Order: sequence, then C-alpha cells, then structure tokens
Amino acid sequence: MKQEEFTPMFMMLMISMIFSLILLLISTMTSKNMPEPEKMSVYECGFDPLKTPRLPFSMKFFLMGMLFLMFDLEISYIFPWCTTMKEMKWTSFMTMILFMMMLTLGFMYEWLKEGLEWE
Amino acid sequence: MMIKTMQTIMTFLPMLLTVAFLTLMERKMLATSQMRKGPNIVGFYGLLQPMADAMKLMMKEANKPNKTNSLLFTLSPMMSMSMALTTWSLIPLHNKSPQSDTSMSMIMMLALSSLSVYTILLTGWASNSKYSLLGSMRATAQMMSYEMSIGLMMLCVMYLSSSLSLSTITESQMNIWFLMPLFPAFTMLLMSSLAETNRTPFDLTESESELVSGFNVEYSATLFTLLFLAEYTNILLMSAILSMLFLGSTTMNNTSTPMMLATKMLTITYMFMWARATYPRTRYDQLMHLVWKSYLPMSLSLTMLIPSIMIFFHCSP
Repeated sequence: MKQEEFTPMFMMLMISMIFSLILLLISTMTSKNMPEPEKMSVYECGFDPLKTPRLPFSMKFFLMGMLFLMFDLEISYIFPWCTTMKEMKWTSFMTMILFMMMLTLGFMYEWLKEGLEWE
Repeated sequence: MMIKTMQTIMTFLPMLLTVAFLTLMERKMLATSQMRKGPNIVGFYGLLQPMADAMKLMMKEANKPNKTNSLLFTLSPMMSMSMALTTWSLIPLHNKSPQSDTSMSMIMMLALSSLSVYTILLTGWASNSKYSLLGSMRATAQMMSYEMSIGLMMLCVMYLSSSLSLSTITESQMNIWFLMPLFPAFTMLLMSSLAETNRTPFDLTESESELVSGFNVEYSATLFTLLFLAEYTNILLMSAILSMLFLGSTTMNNTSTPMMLATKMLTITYMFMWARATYPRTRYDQLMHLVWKSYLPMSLSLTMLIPSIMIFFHCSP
C-alpha cells in the first residue's frame, strides 16, 4: 500500500472544506441578518415549544443498531477473505461457510424471537 | 504532487456543476411526467435555473434558531458535504485518473458512506427541534439497515472479480457485464441505494405530512444548500458505484473515456428520478421488513451461494 494512493482523498477533503467555508463566508457577508424572537424560535407547528425536544432514547433503534453492528463486523470480516478466491483451499472455504452458518443461525434466532418486528 | 492537485481540482469543479444541473434535470423530468413544463424562464429553456437558485439561496438570511448547538449546527452540513465529495475522490473516472490505483477503494467507500450517517444524526440532534430529531433517528435506522445489505451485495461482485479496487473490477468485466450473472443482486442494490440516499419510495426521513421536512427543518440559506448538495452528490455517487460494479468497463474499443461512465451513470440516475415520479411512499414498518426479512436473507444466501458455485465447479476467475 502506497501512501500516495490517498493523496486525492485528503486533497478532496481539504478542498471541499475550504469550498464550504467560502460559501458560508460569502453568505454571511451578503445576507442581512434581522433576528426576531418569533423567527428564532424552534419550528413547532404554530405554537411555542412546550418542553425540551431532546427525547428519551428509543430501545427499538438501539436494538437495530446492535444488529447492524453485528452484521457489519461480519461483512468487514468477509471482505478480505473474498479477494483470495483464486488461491482458495477447501479448508479456508469450509471455515468461512461454518462462520456464516453460525451467523445465519443467530439471525434466525433473532427472527423467531420477534426481534425484527416493528410496530 | 502538483499534477495530482490539479487533477483533483479538475474532478471537484465538474462534480459541483453536475450536481447543480442534476437538480434541473430532476425538475424537468418530474414536470414532464406530470404534463407540466417545468422551469423554462431563466436562461435558454431554463438552463440557468440552478445558477439562479444557488444565487437566491446564498442571498437568503442565515437563520439560527434558539438553543441550537451552534458549532455542530454549522459543522455538520459542512461535514456531510465534504464526506460526499471525498467519497467521489475514490472513483476512477477513467483508467489513467489518479484515483485508479487505490487498491482498497471499496472498503474506503463503505467506511466513508457510513460516516455520512453520523452527519445526519448530528444535523437532527443539533438543531434542537422535535421534527428534526425524529427525522434523523428514522434516517439513521434506515441508512444503517440498508448499508448492511448494500455491503453484502457488493460482496457478490468482489467474489467474481476477487479484488477491492474499483478499476480492477471494471477491467474484469471486459467479457461480460456483472449485470447478467448477478441480476438479483443488481436489482436489490438499486433499491437499497434508493433507501440509502433517502429517495422517494423510502423518503420517510422527510415525509412532509408527518415531519414537515425531516432533519433539515431548521436549516436555511447556505447550510441548507450544503445539505442539499450533499444529498444529490450521494445520489450521483451511488449511481456511479452501481454502474462501475455492474454495468461494465469504462473502456470502449481500447480507448478509455469518461463518457462511457457518464452515460451509464446518467441512466441509473434517471431511474432514481423515475422512481420518484412513479411510486408512493412506503410505511416505516414495510421499509424495515423489506430490508431485514427479504434483502438480508437473500443477500446472505447469495454470499454463500456464489463462492460455493465457484469452488465446486473450479471456475474461479
């Protein structure tokens, strides 16, 4: 792995940051800002916001996040494996199949326990 | 170094122009499908409409609501914009572009596109409004779930090309496009990318009847422009990835031109807009059932089936 491979990436990151900064600068210089209390208030369908909008956490989303983490780890585990398809031997193949079978069993358990239901 | 800088700038500016004209194309397309004319006043047949829109958005008052986390509020649209454009720097537009020798561009691309989830979460949280918080939570769950299935379906292509570099993947499609053997993966990936970019059949993050505008209710002026640009850049990015993975190489008659890639990309982008003009919005539980109960089992079995076929019949490429 060479280091120059990622030069375009960092450059693009810098250029786009600078670009958005310039845009912000232009807009702060050209637009006139006249804040009013009504205009400054948070959008809430015509009435004043009653309580803080920071909601308590939803357990459902947390569960989804955990499931995602599991499967995404698995994917990042398979990615390097799948580039070696040319030199693949039976042992390495069977090991990965066993690993994926275990994951699928876990997924089926999740399904049967109705962890994927969404009301 | 100098040449690379110049080449990077040369990819950056056309990207912005493409995104600008993509909005015009979408408006024209939607108008045509609804028997309207669309924007046709500014410039020649409305060709300068994106410029006028950009000017208008820049001149608007930058409103910053009360009690927002102002640092995150300004930083997260900038982050989302630069994430989208940085991912673009990994796409080899033609064989000799500086991006073409990145050997693990697929992994980098997945990593960067999962970072864009964070920007949406931050956007929703920082703007201190219930609508935007709900919208961003929906967007996060949706994008996470679909990203997983996208990763699994990209694996199918990786098996056949046995490489993580996008230019090698396109070169390995010289004989046959991966669209033919992997058609189910292509269709699922197309629909998942609709959901990943929060496009219309799955745009529950900004469903107007429930959440007004989703995670970007509180944004105005330049910050909104940045969010908007990031959304359209992501659409173009997804269609570029799709066309590189499935729709063959960028070479034609031994000459490599970016025009090939551009044509294929525009075809897929057209499909995105077509879907917007055609389909009504889905319900949230339908969306989640689609990814967890149909796409995930399908893509899991595809990731096991394809290497098994290749090993059993000794036909690894």
